[in-house]
Amino acid sequence: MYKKLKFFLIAFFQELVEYRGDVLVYTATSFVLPVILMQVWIAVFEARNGNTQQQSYIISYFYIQTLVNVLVGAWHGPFLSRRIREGEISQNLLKPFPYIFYWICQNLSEKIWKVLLSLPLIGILFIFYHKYISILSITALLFFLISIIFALCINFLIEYIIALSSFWFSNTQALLEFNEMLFFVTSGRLFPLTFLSALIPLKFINLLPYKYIISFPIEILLNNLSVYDLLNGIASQLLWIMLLYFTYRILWIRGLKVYGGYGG
Amino acid sequence: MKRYLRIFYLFMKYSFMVKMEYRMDFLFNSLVGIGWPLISLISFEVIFKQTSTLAGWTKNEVLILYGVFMIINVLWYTLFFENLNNIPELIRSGKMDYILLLPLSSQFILSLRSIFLSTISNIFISIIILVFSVINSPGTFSLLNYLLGFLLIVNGLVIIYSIMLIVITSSFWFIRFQAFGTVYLTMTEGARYPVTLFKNPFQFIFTYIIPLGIIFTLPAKTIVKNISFPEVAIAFLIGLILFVVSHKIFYIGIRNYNSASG
Repeated sequence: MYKKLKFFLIAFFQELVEYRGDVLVYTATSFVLPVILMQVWIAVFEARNGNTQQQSYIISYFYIQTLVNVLVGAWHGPFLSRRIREGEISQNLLKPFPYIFYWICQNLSEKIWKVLLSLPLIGILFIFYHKYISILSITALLFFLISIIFALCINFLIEYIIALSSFWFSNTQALLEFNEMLFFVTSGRLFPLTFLSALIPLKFINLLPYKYIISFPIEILLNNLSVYDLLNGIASQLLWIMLLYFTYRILWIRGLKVYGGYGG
Repeated sequence: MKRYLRIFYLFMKYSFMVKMEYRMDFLFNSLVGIGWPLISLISFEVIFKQTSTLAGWTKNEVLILYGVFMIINVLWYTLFFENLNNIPELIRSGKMDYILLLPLSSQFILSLRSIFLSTISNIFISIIILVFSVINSPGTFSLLNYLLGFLLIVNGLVIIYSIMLIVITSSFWFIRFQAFGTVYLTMTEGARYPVTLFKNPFQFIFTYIIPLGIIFTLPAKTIVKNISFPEVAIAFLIGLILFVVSHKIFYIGIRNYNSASG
């Protein structure tokens, strides 16, 4: 099993050497929004005569978000749904490992590239903004890494499940876009969730998994969480992973039945 | 000129007929199109809970800027984006030859072949937001404000089109160009906010290199704040220059293509 995984990882890695221009473009562009938002929020706090602690918080928040965005990214939605719709997965079903491994390996190997390409950008940002960024602790770093792995699982599974709906619907594009919109607002990408509580009650957001993909890991690293919140959050991440995994299994098995019914 | 208008009308009619065949898709896309303005409105609400002005712009004025941004954005996607985005594919598949043979301006055909009306719902929302914000604004705006603002919006669209045309012309040489949409999104990421909000180096970049200030902030500023005639004049001048330059570069690309396949 490990040999096959290793084979795929290397194969995808080599394929991406060819497309390194594309990967570079996508990595660089994923930095644009957080950096712009950083500027916007600096201006917001400037108008309030610089509450330096809040300013420091928001800049650190978006700075860490750039790294988190790269680490938890998943992009297989449109590709997987197209493969299912056009019947291209038949050959892969005969292979001696679960189909999802293919996509996991693709994600991980492209991710390694993206992380490598992001490091210089993160370094440059640090040079410009280091006076705002607060110091982290080692235990926080450990829990941060754990939460990132879980966050990636959640993000990956959500997009995978939506793509699986292609077994039944033809317009997964709209579902994927709806998912992305919900994700944007409730995950902590547009703004730190601590600023949202006045508008949309936090209870509603806590029902959704998206908070655990972006906001939760960042807050861990910023040392903003009590021990209770930290453990509660990690447990919630695990719960979501289990829930999503079961949903994936059910949909996959049901979906294959429909797929086979078409003589695929 | 009349001929081109008539043909443009036909392009619109046929695109609409084709799109209406997939009515569910059209409905879906329209609904989804409401989502993003909603999200932007939420983000503005969150921002203005923390402060009452942003770089000297009140919430109302920022919403007017957002309306201007959305109108230009939607018009770009409706009229030009898909058409320019397909040019690399046309080159690769060889269909470009047939288009170049037609007795009409190739730039006109390639830019306006299809009108993508599924994003049109966004324009209604943008106009609603714009009208609401204008009604809510203190102070009176003269007709000159509105007229110049409108002309600057058109000018902004022309500048966007010219810049993106130059970008896609590179596909005549490089052929593969997957990130065209990403280029646009990256370019205009900072466009929702008044250009004065940014510090250097961003303010320099957004004013002189990628002129977001002229494209988006200036029309909004002209409508809701004061009219600065030098800036307006420079804006139109830049629009004209970029349009002519992009036109020339595009035809250099076509000539290069012809000689390569000939």
